[in-house]
Amino acid sequence: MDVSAGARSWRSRLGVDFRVGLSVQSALSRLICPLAYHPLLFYLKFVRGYKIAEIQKIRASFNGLLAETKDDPLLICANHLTMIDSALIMWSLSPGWKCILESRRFPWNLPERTIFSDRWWRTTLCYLARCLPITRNGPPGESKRVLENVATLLGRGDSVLIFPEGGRSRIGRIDVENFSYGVGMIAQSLPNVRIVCVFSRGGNQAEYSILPRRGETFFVQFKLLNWTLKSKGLRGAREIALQVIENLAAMEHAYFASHSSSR
Amino acid sequence: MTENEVFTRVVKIITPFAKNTAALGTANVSTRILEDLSVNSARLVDIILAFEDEFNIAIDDDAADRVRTLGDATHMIVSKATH
Repeated sequence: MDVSAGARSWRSRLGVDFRVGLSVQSALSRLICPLAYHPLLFYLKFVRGYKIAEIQKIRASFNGLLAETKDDPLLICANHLTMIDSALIMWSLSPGWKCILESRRFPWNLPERTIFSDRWWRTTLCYLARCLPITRNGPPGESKRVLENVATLLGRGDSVLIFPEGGRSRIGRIDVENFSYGVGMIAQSLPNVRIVCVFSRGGNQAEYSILPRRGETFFVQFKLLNWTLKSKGLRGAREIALQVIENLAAMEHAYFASHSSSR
Repeated sequence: MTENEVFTRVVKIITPFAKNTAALGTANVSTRILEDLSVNSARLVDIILAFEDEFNIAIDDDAADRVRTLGDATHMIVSKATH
């Protein structure tokens, strides 16, 4: 069973070739960002008509969070309902030009491999969008390799975006029963990692989907998690992951409480 | 504790995590936990921790990594419980 990676120090285990590979991908993604990310933003804003509620306020708060956490690596943990959640989160937290200049504002992603592996252009897009594909329920060793990459990137001071639920929630709400412990494993291996819980949801999003409906306005909220750890090893990983998912669920609960009362 | 007894308890522990409940009926030592029983890989940590609690043993990372089948799990537990 491939369950154990988190209890180890991964940074020292990743080979030079993989480190160089990550550096090349990192540099290329920043170079190509204006050609790839900005057209995507244009599509989301002007073709799909999406809006982020109170985006300036969110970005100002995120600037404060970046200042507060200085050079600490950021592990961004978000709920997951649509295929564009990563882009929406990146858009809501920082303007596009800042994502090019500051690596921490351009998080790495861990998408399901099968979504991007069937067409060459999807694979290329995935690579340039700082994605490290992972196969859900894949062969032993692969998830460990990806987590090693993640730990290396975080160790360099980059940020990584993870969906703890492992995929889009099939119940339309945060799935507190089915979530992975990868976030806990990563956090254990990097004591200075800062976990940021991000909750986002379209006002009319009833359940999971590929794309939200046109003209949707998204509510986005984030919170720096002060996680605690009582156990070691796998129990510790489970403990941290549970704190993350419970915080996301609390943010979701607050969202529905405030939005139902305002209607 | 015989291997048969351990095997029965292993199957009982894994049962709530198995999506392919039909395969549980014909489970044997060669049954693969992920592929045949359709256990979500994210739940493997829970299974390992449940083994530790049930059999009062400590399972290190490398031992956990080697478990693929119900037989692997049974042998590992028997080995650790008798040492």
